[in-house]
Amino acid sequence: MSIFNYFEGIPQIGPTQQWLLEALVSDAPRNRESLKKWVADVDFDALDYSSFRLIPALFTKFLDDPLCEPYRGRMKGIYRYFQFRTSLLAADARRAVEALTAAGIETLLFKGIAIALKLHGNPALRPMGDVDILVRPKDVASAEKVLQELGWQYRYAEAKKKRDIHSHDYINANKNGFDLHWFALYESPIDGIDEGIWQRAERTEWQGNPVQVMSREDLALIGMINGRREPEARRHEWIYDIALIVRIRPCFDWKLLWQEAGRRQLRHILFDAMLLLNSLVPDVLPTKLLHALVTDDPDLCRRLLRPLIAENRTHALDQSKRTDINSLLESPTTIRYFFRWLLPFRSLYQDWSRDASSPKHIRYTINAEGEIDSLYMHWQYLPLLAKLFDVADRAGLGHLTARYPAQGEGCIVIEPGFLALPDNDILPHYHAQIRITEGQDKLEIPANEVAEIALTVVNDSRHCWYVRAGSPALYGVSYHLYSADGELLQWDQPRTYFMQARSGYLAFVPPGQRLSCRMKIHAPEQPGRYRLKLDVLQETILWFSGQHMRFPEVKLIVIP
Amino acid sequence: MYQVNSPRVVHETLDGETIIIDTQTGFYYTIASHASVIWSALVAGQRPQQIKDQYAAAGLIAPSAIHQFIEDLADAALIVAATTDTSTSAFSIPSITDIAAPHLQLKRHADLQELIEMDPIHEVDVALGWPTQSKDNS
Repeated sequence: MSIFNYFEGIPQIGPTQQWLLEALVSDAPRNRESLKKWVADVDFDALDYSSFRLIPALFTKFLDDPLCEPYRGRMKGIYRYFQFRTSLLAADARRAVEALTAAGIETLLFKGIAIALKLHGNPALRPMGDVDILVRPKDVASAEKVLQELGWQYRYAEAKKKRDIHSHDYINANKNGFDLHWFALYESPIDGIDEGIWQRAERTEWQGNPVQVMSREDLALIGMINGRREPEARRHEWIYDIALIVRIRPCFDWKLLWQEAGRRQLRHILFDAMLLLNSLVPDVLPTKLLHALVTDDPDLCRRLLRPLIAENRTHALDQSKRTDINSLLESPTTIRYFFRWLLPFRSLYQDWSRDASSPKHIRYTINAEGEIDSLYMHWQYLPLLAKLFDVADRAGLGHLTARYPAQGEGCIVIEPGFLALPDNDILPHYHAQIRITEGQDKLEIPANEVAEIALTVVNDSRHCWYVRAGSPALYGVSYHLYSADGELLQWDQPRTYFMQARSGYLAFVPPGQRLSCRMKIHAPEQPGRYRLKLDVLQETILWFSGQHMRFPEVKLIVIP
Repeated sequence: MYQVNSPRVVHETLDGETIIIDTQTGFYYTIASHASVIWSALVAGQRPQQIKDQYAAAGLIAPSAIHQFIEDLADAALIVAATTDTSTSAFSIPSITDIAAPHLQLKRHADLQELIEMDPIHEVDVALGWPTQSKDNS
């Protein structure tokens, strides 16, 4: 059985970004077709940062192509710009690495600089903001001394340094960055974890001097984890790196990469990156290979399936294969397994699908005329259909829903025109409660750092909070920043959304439902005392606090 | 004979233009057309006299102008005297359509901070690109 029969939720990037990547990594004639679409669609003045970094490679690949003509001048300029920036950065970093080597400190180059040296030979083609070097943990203090003697300084306030868990970021007078790592990844700062990386290191030359760089598999692992660390940033330039890394000979060892991710318990992030890679460049990571890797890890399968089941996004889970799904979810080592015959009607699947702390979904399909012609849903939400959809015939809805049981799930054929998606996102009435669940009403966070608090948010109105596919009107929780004496400092702060606007789904939070979420708090730059007034919002529509509701406050102390 | 002052100096010729970067000073140079041809010939190990002779024979650029250009490159520490003889096959002038001004200009951008901070999408001349500022920003 393959989890791919059930899994849905491939991370996505925008179509313009996708055409840019296809232009870079596809073969002719698809690459030029993609370039044509990109040129027609891109808003060059609003180019995202990931695309900006790919322009030098695009410019060199399509140097003489008349399709580039509308942006040719600026594309060439961006190429020159990165050639200049990266050459200066690389020159300063090379001197630093030479000094570290002369001091007897072993170094291992990775990320952008390693990819530039191994794959491009031209720094302009692999823009980077800093150079990343791994040293042995025992050498960090001596390495810092060497860097400081060369004029490099710790980039941030000194107080932050003791909180660095995997690298210290240095900067020099030319504003070039040099990140001194003692662990390769932020997510796995564990003694000895990088030993395999050191053992697999390869040798190359940097301006005539021998240097160590990470193996292709390790470069790919780190590139993919870094690329998907913040999925909301929708970065995609790493996909070009990975395509280049994988395509050079000899054959790329995906199993090694998968094993290394397993050792670090990072397969869920890696899988996310692999799905995106597979969907955009299937020749680089074939579906069959991805299947084989993922289905070999039942823990990962459970982890991937849980949110789908809890949010009722399970239309693709074939009923006839439910036994297989349950056997996949049920760990054979748990006590549940031995008592499964006593509890035939209970399963993790059932438990998770009734998880009251998650938003829920109803899947719909639409015919050629744009009318809903079927629903896939959990029967317990049948009474909510009139709150979620515009219903042409309320009496008919009663007859329809009476045909189905109170529990379970399945598909309903809908007569076209009978149900329609709501035509706007505004509800007649809003009401919510926020509870701080772990007693975190006082927080102490270092300046510029991020912390989380656990919240329960209750929809205590009579209406479903729903999010239509593609709608920006997402529901979420956020806070407003006040000084200790109550002066408003900044109203808008980052949001934590409860659900996404997924294609083909109506996402909703039923009346009375309690959602569990973890909200990120971003500490201001200036140390001091603050008050955070929590709030619920419907993006682009309203703040709940403006509807005569009061929510808890958090006292925040920002330390240097 | 000369060679590039490597590793201090980084250079690349692309699309008929040579970019030369002095990583020690942060100065950014561009040369084009015949200047780019002469640069490429010099760093490939051609003797300056050979280059001058060819251009003189073609009646394109006077030897004194080439001499001055090479002096400018050396004064800027972009090239240094070669430590070994790397002379290659005979030099010949490629056909260049853009010969309206066979002028050997070494264009220097010396304000490192300005170069780094200039936004290469919004603050540049749309036709020429970075580092040529748009008229609105200059």
